[in-house]
Amino acid sequence: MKVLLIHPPVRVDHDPLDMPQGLMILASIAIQEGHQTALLDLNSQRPVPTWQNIAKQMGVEKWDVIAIGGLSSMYDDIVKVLKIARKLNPDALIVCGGGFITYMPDKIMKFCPEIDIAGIGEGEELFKDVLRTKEKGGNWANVEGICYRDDDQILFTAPRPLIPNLDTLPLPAYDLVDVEEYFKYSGSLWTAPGSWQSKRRMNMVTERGCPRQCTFCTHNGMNRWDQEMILGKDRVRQMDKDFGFQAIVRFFSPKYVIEHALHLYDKYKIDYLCLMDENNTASPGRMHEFCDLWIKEGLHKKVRLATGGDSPSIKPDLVKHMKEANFSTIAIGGESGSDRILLNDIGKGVTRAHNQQAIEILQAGGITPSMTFMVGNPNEDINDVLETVDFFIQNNAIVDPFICTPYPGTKIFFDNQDFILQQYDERLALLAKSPNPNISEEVIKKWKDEALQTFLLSLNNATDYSCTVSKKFDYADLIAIKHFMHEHNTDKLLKLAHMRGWNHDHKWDDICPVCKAEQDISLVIS
Amino acid sequence: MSNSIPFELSEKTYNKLLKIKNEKGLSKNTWDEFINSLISYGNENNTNAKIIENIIRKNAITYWYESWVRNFSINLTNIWNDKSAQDLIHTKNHYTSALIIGRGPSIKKFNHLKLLSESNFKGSIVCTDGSLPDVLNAGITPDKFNLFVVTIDAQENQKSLYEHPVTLQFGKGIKCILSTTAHPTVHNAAKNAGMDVFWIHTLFDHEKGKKSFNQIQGIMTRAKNSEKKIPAIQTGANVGTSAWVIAWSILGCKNIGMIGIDLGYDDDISWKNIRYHGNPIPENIDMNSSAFKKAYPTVHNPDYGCNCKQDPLFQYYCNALKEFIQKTKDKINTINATEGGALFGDGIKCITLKEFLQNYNF
Amino acid sequence: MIKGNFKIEKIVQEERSDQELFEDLIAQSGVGSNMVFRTTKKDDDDELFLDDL
Repeated sequence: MKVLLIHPPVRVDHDPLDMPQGLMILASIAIQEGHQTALLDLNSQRPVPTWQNIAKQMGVEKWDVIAIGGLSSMYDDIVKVLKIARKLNPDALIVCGGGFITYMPDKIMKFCPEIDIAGIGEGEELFKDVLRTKEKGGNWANVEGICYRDDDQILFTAPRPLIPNLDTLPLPAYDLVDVEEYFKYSGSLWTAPGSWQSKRRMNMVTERGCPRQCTFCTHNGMNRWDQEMILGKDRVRQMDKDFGFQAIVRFFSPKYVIEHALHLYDKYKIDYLCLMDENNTASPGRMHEFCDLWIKEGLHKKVRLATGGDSPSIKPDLVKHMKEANFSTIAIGGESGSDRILLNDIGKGVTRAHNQQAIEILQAGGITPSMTFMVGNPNEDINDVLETVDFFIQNNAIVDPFICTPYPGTKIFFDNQDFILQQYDERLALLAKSPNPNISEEVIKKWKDEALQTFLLSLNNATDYSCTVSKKFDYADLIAIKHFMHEHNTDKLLKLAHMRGWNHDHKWDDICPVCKAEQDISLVIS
Repeated sequence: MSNSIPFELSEKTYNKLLKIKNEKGLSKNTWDEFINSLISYGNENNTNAKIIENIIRKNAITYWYESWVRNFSINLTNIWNDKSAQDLIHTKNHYTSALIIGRGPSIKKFNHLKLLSESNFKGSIVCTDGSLPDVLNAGITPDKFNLFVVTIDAQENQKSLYEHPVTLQFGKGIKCILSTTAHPTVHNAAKNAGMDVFWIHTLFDHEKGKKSFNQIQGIMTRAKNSEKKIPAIQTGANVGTSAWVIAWSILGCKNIGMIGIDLGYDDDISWKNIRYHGNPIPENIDMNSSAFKKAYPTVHNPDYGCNCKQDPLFQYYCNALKEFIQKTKDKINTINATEGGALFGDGIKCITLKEFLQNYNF
Repeated sequence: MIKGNFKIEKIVQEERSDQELFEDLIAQSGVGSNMVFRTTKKDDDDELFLDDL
């Protein structure tokens, strides 16, 4: 069969940094299955190709299977790609997967009639089964982990377990991607600081899942927390019995990763490798093993490294070893300077003290800490914001915080769904304040679906505002607060607090221009 | 024996035609191609220029609009409180010459900054922001020269030009003319460097009348002080053209010199190795195709006798600036002292910088 | 761009006109720092400078 995999554009206001690893592994699987396989990477250039050009590239062949994957923030472009794909290939099987569809496949298939099959969660074994079923004309009901169409209905099949041993997966199909195009952006300022001098930077994913359960995060259906969110705890416990424990986090083995890296060094002469993992340091034993093997192969002299981690796992001995292995940066989700928000809203199990300690240990160990933060958590108030800015000031950190965005599949999405949809449909907002029994459930459901679609189309990367879960701040507040946080402008934040009638803690009185002015005036009067 | 009458061209006519052929940038083309360019239906060169402009303008507003709106809204308090470029119109110390400094390859090739720094040029020097660190490093500093710098770009990374150590050292005394849609961090950086900041609007959708964001900018600017006027300029899509417009419309200069305004790439560098300010040429393009040659021409400058390479962006900037110069040639003198590049034609006098400094130093 | 493990049919040159290729090259080259302003007003000066918006 002729199989086309499409990687839609993502973060088009940034340089394209990362090759579509997941799709490239699926391409390898299609090739292993004996199919003529192509990958259309729409993200490797800036500006992205015009839609006319995209249609021309898609139209070069008649495809039997078209696979499109992506994140929730890519939904609006995916919708356009689907329309073109279906128009040019009316008979092709269109299968979609990835974060944008995993958490509500039936809804997405309803909004996008072009999609024949939705893959839920981990895609490799699933895609293999889909290709075999398509080729042999089998019954979709027998393919685990999908949604499929049966006349007017959209049906779910039995859930698919996680792949127990990731080392069984093939390497990504690098031959199907314009690797040299990506290398042009190696030194981009959008990458981690340690890579700014690199000329041949590549990325690799070596972990699926994360042991922390942050409320704003998902893992594209590829770990236990996500499965519980999608299927419910009871179903997942049954899967434990049938298939073995569904893991919270899985890794490719250090040996596999080293062999993969050696292949990249030999073939592409990489000088920088970013292990795009959420929390590599949370398994220190594995990280030590990785560093040992990396150094043994001499790769520490040839390739610089970066990865992600969490604060509590940053310990001096681990950092020393990672430094020897030539790690230049570790990215950590700092999220907030307020313990109240870290523990309650975000549920990370990490404190400000952990974050501070991690920064100090990394700096002492000669590895650059790269910490990201966000604003607009559900219960975050001005005091929490000031705590975060205080953290920035203490550490002389220039941070442009993300806006806390309730991507589908996250706990904050599920907990605040109605509130989110009300931001996209004033009728729902009015009904929330004053319910009206004369409006039927069916009509409300229709409005909710419309609002959901508008919400999905509005999603972008969290550097910009799309919608909020904040109970304290509206969108104008969030944009201003984000800007003032970046500037460390506590004056403006405190003035804003007074303008809006938000009470701030007395600990900020000494730096509050309004409180100081009031004090000065009363001193003069007295 | 032939019945045809021998056709002869007088030397005078021949020289006239040769001059026109060279002025059109066709000195390396055949006479047939020259004749075709005169009589071709629709005048293809103008059509190509229009196509280039239409496509890039449409993409530009899609790309920049939100940034402009966001930047303007954050800048608003400072716009209310800081000076307007209007104040520069009323300054008593007008000079009648100005010199625009860009970043084109000719400026280093001919060591223009050294020549300028050793001169006693009395006119206004208007730098593009990208050229500022080099200008200051060359010794062209506000204690010796009447120095302005212009920023119109909405990107945050422009601030690095104002955070440069040499800018921090010599910033005090430089007058910064800043677009109201520039990134807010640029304003902070300019102030931090000790500069005097003067706001200016940039025209982009004013023709849409009440629906335009330009009009809303005007209303919001005057919201706090109804007397506050901020002038609005044509940018020509780049900071070099903006500097040229500012020099005559705001500073009131009558003779505008330009250096580093090549509006093209060094012809000695191959297409593959050029460091493009936009995007590089696609890898699989056929460089012999007419599409490529139209989009990426090599232009001959008949006044300087040199070539330069252009991409669509440079064509866009260059065509617009040439048009504006032609429109204003009756009221101002535009003197190109770049000694290279693609800027030549009606209304443009091409000389060396040395000649400019000798003849326009007032 | 599209890459495959088999010989993908090239887009036939005749189908893609020179004009389309020219326009694609323009579109991919970039957007500049700002944009050239155009007005349909008769007074050309309005296209270059306004003393107030």
